This record gives sequence, C-alpha cells and structure tokens, in this order.
Amino acid sequence: MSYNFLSASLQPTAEHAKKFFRTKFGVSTFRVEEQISPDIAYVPTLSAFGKDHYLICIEVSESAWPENNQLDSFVLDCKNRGLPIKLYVAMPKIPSDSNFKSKLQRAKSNGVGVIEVEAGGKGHIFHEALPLSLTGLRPLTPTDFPPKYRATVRQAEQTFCDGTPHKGCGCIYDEIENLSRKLAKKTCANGLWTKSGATKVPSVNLETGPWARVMEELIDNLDLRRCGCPKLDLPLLHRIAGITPHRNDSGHKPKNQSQLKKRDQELRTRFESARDLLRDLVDATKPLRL
Amino acid sequence: MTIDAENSELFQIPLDRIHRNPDNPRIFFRQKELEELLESIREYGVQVPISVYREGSRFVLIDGERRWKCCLKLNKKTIPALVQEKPSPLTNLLLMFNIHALREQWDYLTIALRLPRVIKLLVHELGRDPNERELSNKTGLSRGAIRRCKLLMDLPSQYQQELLRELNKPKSEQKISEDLFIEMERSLKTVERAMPKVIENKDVVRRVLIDKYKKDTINNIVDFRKIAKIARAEKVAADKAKARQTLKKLFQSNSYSIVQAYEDSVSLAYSERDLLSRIKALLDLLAKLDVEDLEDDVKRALRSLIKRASELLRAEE
Repeated sequence: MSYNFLSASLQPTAEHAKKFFRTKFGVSTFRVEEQISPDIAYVPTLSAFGKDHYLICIEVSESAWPENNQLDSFVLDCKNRGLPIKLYVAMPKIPSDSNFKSKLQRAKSNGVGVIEVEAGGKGHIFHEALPLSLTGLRPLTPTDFPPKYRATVRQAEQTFCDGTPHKGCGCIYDEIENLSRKLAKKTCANGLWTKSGATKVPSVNLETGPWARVMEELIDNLDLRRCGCPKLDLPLLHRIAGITPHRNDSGHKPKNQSQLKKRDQELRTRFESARDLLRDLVDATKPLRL
Repeated sequence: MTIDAENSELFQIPLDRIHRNPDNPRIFFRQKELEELLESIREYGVQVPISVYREGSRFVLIDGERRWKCCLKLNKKTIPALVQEKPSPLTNLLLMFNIHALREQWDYLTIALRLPRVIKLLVHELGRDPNERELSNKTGLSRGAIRRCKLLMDLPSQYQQELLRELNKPKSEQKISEDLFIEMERSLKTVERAMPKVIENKDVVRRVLIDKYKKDTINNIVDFRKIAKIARAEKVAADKAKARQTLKKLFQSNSYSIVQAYEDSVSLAYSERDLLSRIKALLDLLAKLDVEDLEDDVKRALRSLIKRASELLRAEE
C-alpha cells in the first residue's frame, strides 16, 4: 500500500495505527487514502469497516488535531450528510506539545477519537470516537427541564451519541411513558374523566396495560377544560400516542451500512422530537404536580 | 532543452491518470508544508496549472507533484494541467532541476542523489565529463550549490542513509543536517591536503566528530571551520607538530572539543595575524591623513594607542 499525501515521516505511525485497530477493534481490511464518498471533499489516511457497520476513518497526524481546518470541515460534511462514520486521529508518541490539551478538547468536542500509537500495535486511547451520524444533535438547553429531569436527559443524550441511539431514545421514551401513565392515573382518580366528576373505571390497567391503550383512554376520556393545565391539549396527547409504535422497534440491529445510515438518521430525528415532547409534557402537566 | 512550454495545451485531467515522475529528485514532502498548500487549494483551488507529458493513456508529472497530492487528498476529480511533449531522459531530469531547484529551497541531498545521473547523461551527450560551469548552466544551480552537492554525493552510503533518515523527520526534530556534513567534509579535505597523515581512517574520524556533535561536545557546525584553520597552522607560523598532535587528539573518542583544540594550538597565531593585518590597515589609513583632518577625539585615541603600544614594547625590553 502506498501513501500519496502522507509524508514519509508519518507512514510508520499509519502502520502502527493499522496494527492497533486490528488488535483492538478486530478490523482487517484497510483502504489507504481512498474517498469515503464522492461528495466529501477530503480523503482520510485510512478507512475500514468495523464489525458494527460503522466506517472507521483514521487520520494520521503529528498532533491531536491538525493545524489547518481540514478536519473541521470533514466532520461537518459527515454530520450534515448523516454518514455513519467514526473518525479517529492517530498520532505518534511525541515528547511534548504545548497545545496538546486544547487540541484534544477540540477533537473531543467534534466527536473525534484521539489515539497515540506505538510500534507493535500498542497504543493509548485518549478518548473514543462517536458516530458522526449521531453527533450534532440540536443542543440541549438544560433550563428547559426541571432539575429532576436534567440528569436523565443528559444521560440519554450521552447514551445516544455513544453509539447506542436506540437506548438513548428508549431513556426518553421511558420518561414520557412514566409521566403519561401518572397523568392518566391522577386525572382518572380525580374524576376528570367524567363530566359529573365521578370516578370512572378504565378499561385498561393504567400502570401495567399497553401504553398505546392507556393513551387512547386518556384521549377519549380526559376533560381537558377541568384539569387545570392550560398547556395540556389534544395535539400534545396525540403526539404522545404517535410515538408509542416506535417504542418497540428502536432496538433492531441494522444488518448493513445503508440500514445503519437510515436508522441513525431516523433515530436522530426521533430523539430530538421525543426530547421536545418530554419537555412540553413536563411543562404542560406542571400544575398537576405529578 | 527542447521543451516548448508555449505550445503546450491546457486540459482538465483526471487525477487518477496522473503519475509521479520517477526522475523527480525531490523525495521529501514535509507534512506541514503539504498541509499549508492543501488549505490554500481548498480555499482558492489550483491557481497555477501543473505540467505533465503524455505517455500512452497516462500522464507523467513534470511540475506540480505537491498540488497533485493535495488534490487527491481533497478528493478532487480533475486538475488543470499543461500537456507538453514527452522530453528526452536528460531533458526530463534537467527540467526537474530547473523548475524546482530555482523556485524553492531543496534539500541538497536530494539533488546530490540525482546529480550522478545528470552527469552520466551529460557525458553521453558531450562525449566528456561536464565541468562545474556546464553543470551549473544546465541544472540552473549555482556553482556553490553544485560544490556542496558533490561533497554529499561523495559521502559513503551509510552517511547518506543516516542523513536521509534525519531529513525525513520534521525540521524541528532534525539533529544532524546537510550543513553539518558539508562543513565537516570541507574541513576534513583541508586536513587531508595540509596534513596528509593525520587522518588514517576518514570514516572513523567522521563517526567520532558526528558523535561529538550529537553529544554537544561540538555545539556549532561553524566550529568545523576551525579544524581547517588548525590544519593550516604553517600559514600563520604556528607550531605544526603541535597542531598535528592536537588534531589527532580531537579525532579520538573523548570530550575534547574543536574550540578547545583551536585554543590549544593556533588561536594565538591567528590572533597575532589578525592584529598585524589591522595594524597594517591602520598605518595605511594614517598615511593618507593630514594633521588638519584629525578631530580631537581621534587625536585622543591615537595618543592612547601610542601609550599602550609603548608600554607593551617596554615590557618586552
């Protein structure tokens, strides 16, 4: 394999990186300086498919983040196109770099992994790469949520970006489900499901029954005018009912890269809209002190 | 050279049909420089077309290897190129020198490694060895640069390889340099000429001096010029036997530095020669002056000079 762009001084580092990825990630076939997509204006030093169908791209550099802006625009292009790529910067073991910490931070904030490699396939991972198709979520404004939800939402986002997007979505769905069941139980118990104020026996167990059925009951019976929550309306309840079918299909493993790309794109949209829905539901049900 | 650049045609050529020129003496492409060019091309595109010649269905680079590399990295599909006639082997090589060596600072070793082939092809063309001026005219290199390259060309292969490995590193990490070898070789040649039997095994001497440089016993490559001065002790009427002994000591594995060797042998003699030439120059200047020309401060300085000179002469008596 020959390198066109990589200077001779960094070629041993590229070879060490290959060995490291073979040992650590079980990657076998590397492409050298080949395009990853015709419309991406950058060619990483090495690329290979991982076992999870993500394309592992490795940029060999003298430092944790190259001086020029190439990687920034490469990362942005991948994010914009939702490409399922994990990008690593592989660098040689160097004595000192005064800007190392800031470069490392820059890589981390872009979701790019940084590895220091040595001969014999040895190496040190400063931090792991995140799938670029999953990073770049609309930023979370922590104050949109009451304190008791903030840690959960942040954790869900972390889980999503770490490469298990269905679990990240699942965390948010869990919160929405819990809250909507509590809403159903409290409003039913308070007689808000009948015009007379009498308690109605629901046709489904509100705690353990299917979530979709609980939402149907809630939509059919809840007297929105009397429940004292001006922001709680039918469109909001329908939005919740609308996500219940996704509750169970988010965990299916993609079988190839195009399925992975499609799944990541869908899950990114689902995650953002579920997060918005949780925010709106929490806000709308505040008067009920659930 | 027979290439007619004015009659070349401009095309957009697919990058994958372009191949590097095997005769390009340039073998070091430093990452930092490539990345700077990459950034410029990303921002502004390729502003100056590369030059190629056609060879069957492919194109061979004459000029623009770095631009071509950057375009590959930027995943561009084509590059603007001037397509020229296929040159003869000698013209091809000379084009490389004339295009590149004149435009930017090349590593001398890369030129030195290609120079024997240029000389061989010129011998074939001229029917005799080219002289320094002819080489300079043909390659576009200065005669000084050719002399430097020849010093590197004549280095044993092990040192050329050592230097190649060093030149592969980023500039900031390079310890030994071409200049080190050029200065060392020049001084050792002078020693061989002026004191033929001092160096018994030149390779051993080279290794000792390089090790001393790596250990900072020698901490400035310009110090090597002092070795030549020690070898020329006779010219400044210094003790030649002592100078010979000093050089022998210097060329052994120890912590004896060039500066120390110079101080121990010929430093005083060179200082005296320097003083003498300054006195002569001053006397020549004074001979041209009239007393009316002298300012008061000059007169004061001259009186101080006479006083100090008298003291020195009296002390000697």
